[in-house]
Amino acid sequence: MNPMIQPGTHPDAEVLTAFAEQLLSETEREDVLAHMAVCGRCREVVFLAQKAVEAEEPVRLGARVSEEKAGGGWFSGWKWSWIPVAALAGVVGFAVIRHEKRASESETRMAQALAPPAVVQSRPEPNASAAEPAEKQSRPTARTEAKQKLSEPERSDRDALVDRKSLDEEDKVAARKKDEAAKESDQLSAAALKDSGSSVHGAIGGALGARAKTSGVGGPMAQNQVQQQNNAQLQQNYSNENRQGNVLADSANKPESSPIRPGSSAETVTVQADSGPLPVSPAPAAEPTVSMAQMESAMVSEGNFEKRKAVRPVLPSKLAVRSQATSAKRLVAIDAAGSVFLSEDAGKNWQPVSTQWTGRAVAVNTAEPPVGAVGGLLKQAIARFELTTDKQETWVSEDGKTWTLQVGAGK
Amino acid sequence: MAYLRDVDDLAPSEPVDEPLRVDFSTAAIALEPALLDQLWGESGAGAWGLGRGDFDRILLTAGLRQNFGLATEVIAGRDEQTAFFRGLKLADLVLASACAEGNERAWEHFMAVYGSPLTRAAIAISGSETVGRDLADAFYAELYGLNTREGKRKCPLESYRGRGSLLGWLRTTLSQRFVDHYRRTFREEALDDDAHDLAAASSSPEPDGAVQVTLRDAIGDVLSSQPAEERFVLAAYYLDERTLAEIGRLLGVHEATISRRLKRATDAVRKELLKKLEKGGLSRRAAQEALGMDPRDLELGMDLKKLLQHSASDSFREQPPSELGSKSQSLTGALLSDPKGPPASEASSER
Repeated sequence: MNPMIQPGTHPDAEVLTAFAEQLLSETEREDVLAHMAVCGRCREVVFLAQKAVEAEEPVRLGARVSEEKAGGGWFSGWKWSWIPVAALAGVVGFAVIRHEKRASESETRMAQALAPPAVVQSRPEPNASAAEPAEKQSRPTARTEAKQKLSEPERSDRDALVDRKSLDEEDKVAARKKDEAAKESDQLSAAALKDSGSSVHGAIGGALGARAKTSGVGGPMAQNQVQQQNNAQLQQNYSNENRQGNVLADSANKPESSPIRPGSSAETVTVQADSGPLPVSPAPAAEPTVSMAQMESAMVSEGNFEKRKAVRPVLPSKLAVRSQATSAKRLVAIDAAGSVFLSEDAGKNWQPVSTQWTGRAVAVNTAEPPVGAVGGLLKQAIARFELTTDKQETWVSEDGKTWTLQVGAGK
Repeated sequence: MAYLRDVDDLAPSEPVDEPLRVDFSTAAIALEPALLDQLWGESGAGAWGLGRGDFDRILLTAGLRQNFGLATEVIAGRDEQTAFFRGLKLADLVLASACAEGNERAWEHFMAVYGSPLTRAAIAISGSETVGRDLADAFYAELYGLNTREGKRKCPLESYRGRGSLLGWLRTTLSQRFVDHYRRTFREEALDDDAHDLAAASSSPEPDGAVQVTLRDAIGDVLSSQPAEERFVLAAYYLDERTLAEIGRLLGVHEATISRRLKRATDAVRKELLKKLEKGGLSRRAAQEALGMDPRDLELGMDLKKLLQHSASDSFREQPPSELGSKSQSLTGALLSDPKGPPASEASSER
């Protein structure tokens, strides 16, 4: 028999507890271990007690966590957890902003996509002024809705009054411009009808023109150069009008949003006046000159963010892009200082263009060449750039390098 | 192999500590008021309604019962008293003593603090919600002093001396109650056929050759010469089939340490066995053959198997006879035929 064994005697609970809690002296511990080496009962007791301790641990941890949550100051509870919370909030905020931006762009695109067919279908007559009634019909509706929204009870009376005044002024200006454009359009349409016989066109400009081209209502090309220039002028007027009209259409399509949304309207409706012709042919037309906002909108709607990056060129001058025009892979851009740069590889590399004009370049866009000269099928390949200076001179170039003054364009 | 035998179950359990009743006037004389004031503030006993006089008396009783941790004839000074009380779980001791004296406020506090943990501990120990709650209820009744001895109320909390935590003491006591209850009821259970067969087989005459007798004695001597901790680890691992992690947690070391200790212990035992067998008259080759003996041969004829079975069946955990065979085989295999031992593989698998 092992001398360490003391038959009939077990360590009491006090000693076993102290052993399990590592509180015994070395001598006492040796005695207890020697006993437990031969005592299955005491081994079982201490292991079971240990098992109870382990079962208690999760409860204790949970209680500790709840105590920490309940007590300790507001900041102490957030001492470490605020980092992932803040990161999560940032991600959510970014996602919401992106979602809203994309939603507004898609709504604008829907408005642009839906407007032309309404114009065309509303009045199938080949009259250039056919679209007017539809637009007139839709615009007052949108304006009325905007006014109704502005007069919501939440807003202060003063704000409502100011907004209403500004809207009335805009309405008057738009109506004046629209009347002038309608007169010119009627004249042009009459002339076009004379030349082309039974061509069906709608006098729609900007993005609406591009949409009308694809609607299959194009007719034979029978426009001369003078008519083209007149159309350009006409469309320029219309672009201004469309800018206002689309703002209202946008606000009308989004009843839950505020009627005045500078971000969305500036981004999606600033259609630059291009010299795109009236719908004349189903053949591929030259790329219309569109604003940065339009290009971005198209890129984002397609989910092509890489292309979107390429749309915002970084010019060698490191200045902001004031105006930009695209023709095939060629890009001509004007920076804030008036310097002109040309890229022949879709904006990857830029080279400065020597100043061949007088004054300071302020705007550039893409213009289609005279239809009669090149034919409809070749328009896209050789679309030309038009550069406008602060002296109201228009310089044209086909390659972006060599510029010539457009006769009769300057003032 | 004597150490593998369990102690006599009929022997009384832990020694009973009779409560020491001390007059309050003695406390004022024996303990310094400054120390008592300090301990009173630290114990927090006033928060749950203990009176200062009761506190002083409880402290003096605890000190005198253990003579402040000193030998019987030594008189404790202030430093010894301070060191003694500092080494105790003072708040737990005061609460337990007050409960043992029947202080209602103390009981309210006790149940508020330890009621739920004790029930959870009982459930964890018994492995059953129903049995655990029954065990906890019975223990509450015992703690409350419903049991009497010679007409006096008997509370187990009187034996708590504050060395370990009160909750740990309660868990250990609960485990003791459960183990004792199990061992009593286990003996009352009828033997099934397999166990009966095993008992019959073990009672049958066994071949007890000279080599096997020598081997058995050598194993007993070698094991008893091992350090206590190694023997405890061997017994817990091979007999109780505790995992390395469980053993490690109990001893406060990592399971990898237990694995190394097991391997070291089995290697040492094997080496010592060879020496013992050679000293016992066996040639080296015969000793190696004896160690290389198939454990399955041993389990049929050796007393080792019987000892292991006896120890295992006496052990708390109920195991089928098939497991007993594998258990004895694993131990003898570890000591005899498997010099490398299984702990390393288990340690790797457990990790």
